[in-house]
Amino acid sequence: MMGVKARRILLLAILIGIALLTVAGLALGSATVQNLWQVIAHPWGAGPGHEIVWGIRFPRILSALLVGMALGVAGALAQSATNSPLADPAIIGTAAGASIGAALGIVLNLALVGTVPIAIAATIGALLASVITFSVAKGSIQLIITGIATSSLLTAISGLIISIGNRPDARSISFWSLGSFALTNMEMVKVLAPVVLIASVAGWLYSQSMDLLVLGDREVRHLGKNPDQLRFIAFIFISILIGVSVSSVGSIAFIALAAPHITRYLIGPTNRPLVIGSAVIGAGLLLLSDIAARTIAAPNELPIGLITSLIGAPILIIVLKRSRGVWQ
Amino acid sequence: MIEIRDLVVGYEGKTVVDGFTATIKKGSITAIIGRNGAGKSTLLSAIAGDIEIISGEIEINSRSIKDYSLADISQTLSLAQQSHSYWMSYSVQEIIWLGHDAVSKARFDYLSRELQLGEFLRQPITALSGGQLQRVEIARSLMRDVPLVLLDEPFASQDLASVERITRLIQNERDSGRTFVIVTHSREEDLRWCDQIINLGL
Repeated sequence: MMGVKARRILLLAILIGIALLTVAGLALGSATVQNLWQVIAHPWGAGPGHEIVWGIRFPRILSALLVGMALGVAGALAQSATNSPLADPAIIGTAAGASIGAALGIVLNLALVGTVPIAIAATIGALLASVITFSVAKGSIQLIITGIATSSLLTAISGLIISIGNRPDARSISFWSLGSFALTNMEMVKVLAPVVLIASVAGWLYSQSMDLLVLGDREVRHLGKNPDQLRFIAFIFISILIGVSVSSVGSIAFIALAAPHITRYLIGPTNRPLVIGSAVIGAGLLLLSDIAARTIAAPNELPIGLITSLIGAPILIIVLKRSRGVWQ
Repeated sequence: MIEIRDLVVGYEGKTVVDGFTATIKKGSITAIIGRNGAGKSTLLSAIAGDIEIISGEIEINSRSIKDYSLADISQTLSLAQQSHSYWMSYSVQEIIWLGHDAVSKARFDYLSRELQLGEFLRQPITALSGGQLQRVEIARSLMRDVPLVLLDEPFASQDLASVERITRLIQNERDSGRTFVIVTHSREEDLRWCDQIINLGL
């Protein structure tokens, strides 16, 4: 672990890295832009080059940063709330619940993708799925097994809903299970930005009270706090963050798992710095993944979930190998 | 301090402690001994309000434990668990301070000295041995100024010198008015420093 000064330098380095990635994200893409650097240097210009760089690529970059931040914060809160290193919202059913909420909202004609009502529907789905998982499971192993079962069940049901609903605007099953930034636009950013920023700050403020959970439920009760209540409030923030993310770009694997583990490795487990670090690293990882997704096989685009799985799955395996103590 | 009458407790329909009665005086040290499975830790959990009482009564300061809110519990007792597994690398001092914002630095320094934790304070909790973890648990249980301290197997992984130091610490704390209930596998003849020994069965 490092001192405060080293942490600040690291944070600054990551922020500079994100700024460079943002420029790269503006510059890279399958379409050729005339006078590329001039277009990048003048955000308020006009013309076909501007439309590609600032009208299509820029909102996509912002969406990746915001969703990455949401996933990082949600993952940090989920791991701390459950005192389990495996509590990825995608593993414990939260993301699948959000998908089903969003799919129902669209098929039942309540809302469109990327709007506030669909984010609300997804948040409710996420919260219900979390409650189901938590009411059945006791302890780390059960949490993961129950979560996988809940996830599979809800993913299957949302697949059915989408197929039977047969609506072009309901997006594809692969959108909801692997995620995609291909259809992001500025309208979507206007929904994502306030929700993600407010929920992240609120979750950050709240996270301090969850440091106690590392002591175990019994000790938390002896300190006069109700551990179930501490967890439930955390899952409201988590569900909002996952709800708004999934309803905009589908369910993206492993970022929520990887970002907090990388952050904890770098700066330690205390919740407030952990949440900030996870937000920044989640944003950077997802932006990097999205740039890779649209450049590796250009002009074809890879599903973002493929890239994040490539990065995230090895991290999951390392975490599993290093945290045997949890299985007791 | 504690009145236990005809206590029946257990888990999932299985009775572990069946009809237990005892009185524990304020400012005393009570050791609970007995074979594995005799219900020592279950009894401790019942006193701490962690499990539901099937029948009978536990009164702490003349009030039924069933009527204690979480806030009441936190002002009445603390408990050092037998074992604990951590996966997040909080430092040892962070773990000892968690939930203890109102405790003085002097108290923290005293306990880390008495429990020989000084050299580990900045190390990650995940790097400690079983005996060291146990001493961290004991330190935590003595941080808050509560009248009743429950210790579950505090000597299990300690060497003789540590057992002696912990024993002396407990006696000093008792002399300042605290009540201790200790579950232990120690032999009866090694527990002469306790004020009362309760044997739950051989």
